[in-house]
Amino acid sequence: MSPHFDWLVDGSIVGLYLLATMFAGLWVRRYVTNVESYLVAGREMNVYLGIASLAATEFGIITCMYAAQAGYKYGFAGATPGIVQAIAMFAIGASGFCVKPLRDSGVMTIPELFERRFGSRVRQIAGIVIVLGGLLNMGVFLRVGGEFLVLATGLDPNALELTMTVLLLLVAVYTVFGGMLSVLVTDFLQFIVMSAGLVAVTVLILYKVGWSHMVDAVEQHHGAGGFDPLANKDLGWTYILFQICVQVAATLTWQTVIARVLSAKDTPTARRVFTGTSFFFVCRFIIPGLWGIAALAMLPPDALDLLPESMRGNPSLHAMPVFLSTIVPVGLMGLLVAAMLAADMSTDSSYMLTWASVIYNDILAPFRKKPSSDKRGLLVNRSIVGAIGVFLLFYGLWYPLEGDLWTYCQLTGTIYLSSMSVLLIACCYWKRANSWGALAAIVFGAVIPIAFLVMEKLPSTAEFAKTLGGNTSGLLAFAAAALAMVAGSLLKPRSTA
Amino acid sequence: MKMPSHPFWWALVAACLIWYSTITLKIAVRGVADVRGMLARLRARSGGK
Repeated sequence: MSPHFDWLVDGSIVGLYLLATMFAGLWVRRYVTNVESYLVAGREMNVYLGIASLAATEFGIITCMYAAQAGYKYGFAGATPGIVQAIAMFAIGASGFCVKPLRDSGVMTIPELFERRFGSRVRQIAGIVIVLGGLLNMGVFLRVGGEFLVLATGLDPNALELTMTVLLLLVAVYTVFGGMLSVLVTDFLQFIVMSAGLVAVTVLILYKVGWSHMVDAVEQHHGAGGFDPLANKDLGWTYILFQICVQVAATLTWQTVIARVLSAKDTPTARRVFTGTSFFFVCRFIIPGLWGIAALAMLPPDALDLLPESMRGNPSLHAMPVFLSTIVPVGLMGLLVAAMLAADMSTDSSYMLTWASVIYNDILAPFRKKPSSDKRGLLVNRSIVGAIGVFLLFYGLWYPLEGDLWTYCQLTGTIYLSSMSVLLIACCYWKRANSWGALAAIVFGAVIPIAFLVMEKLPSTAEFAKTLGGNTSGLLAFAAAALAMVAGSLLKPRSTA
Repeated sequence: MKMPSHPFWWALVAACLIWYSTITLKIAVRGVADVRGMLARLRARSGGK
């Protein structure tokens, strides 16, 4: 155990947080009476609860780790994605672009909207692509979360798998029983705990390390590229263009984000949740990014040589928790661990539920010959959430993550972000869009990132994948999906539309 | 008073800390009302069970 983690003081803080969360999560299950209340909380979510839930869901340990890695590797320029997403979310919330017609339609998932325009086959295939991209993306959450806890608290690395399993079990229990209602109420608690921990640790770091010291470290390691993404040889224009595509698409179609739009009590509330949460996305990258920069400034060169064997392949990812284990004192360490558990649990619960909602609502829908009873619908949904938990546990245990975590998350997300954003925009605003275009966009949008991920793993193509780069490959996916939508839609004879 | 180096990033960090602290306090207060309202409406909808 880290000398800075005291079982009595810090353990009590963590235990209290876990007790409160489990109690709240399980208590609200009594309000779950049908599938709508389970999947979209009966569409009764108001603005402040929505902001808390969206912020808590979109900040997990995984976010903290990749944003800190970006700070460590690219300096302040690593916060660019957060700035881009904040602008995208504010603009979309203020204008109502896509989210207004989406919420007005009264659907529970995006593919359900697609069915009205493109037919049931597109709905089902879109559901499969969304679930595939979402689960691959989420697959690394558990391991990375476990690694953070092991390194920050000094827990035995052999306990990582057990830590992951316990974490998942706790989340699964209240998500399975309470669905979106439990997710919203626990998200609210988790947002408060997470925010208190994030702000307190950041103030401590600024006080102990100092602004000048951090700026000097970035200048020394990254030069001008540490402050300006265009001057950074690893970032540049392709990186920024890809960020614009990914962040706009994620704001429009990432199922966990859109679930808040669809759970909102009305369309103006949904839009206010977006504008009200937008600046959080800057904080989401700046705060952990600052922790990564502090690690760059403070850790001696050989500090990462002592990492456990399983974590040595990706030292920049683990610098931040190693640094925190040396600087955060007893008491605050308990708050930090509780904050990170809060961040992780809110993300995991929401992700499990939203991918389950797509499986139930869109992939399995054609197999239901008649409407399910509320009891049966709830049972199926709960079983799917449980099955996703089992998948996560096994995938998280064997998938070897290499390279940049943020790039992995974006690429797996791009499998569906590219095509679904194109489908949603076309569905809402282009009259000529049809099922041929939709299917072509799904195929082209998914094939490119999947091929890139496979090429990265094959020795014969790994070098080519490295030369091409994740950003270019991602941009190609967006361009291909858009072109395929236009070409496919124009090729389909109007009479068969 | 001496201006901190890289004022854009300094101002952004300061803005994040101020905004985040403020919104957390606001949500802690207003969010409770939202949770209560949501549960009350759900209870009313299911016939006060």
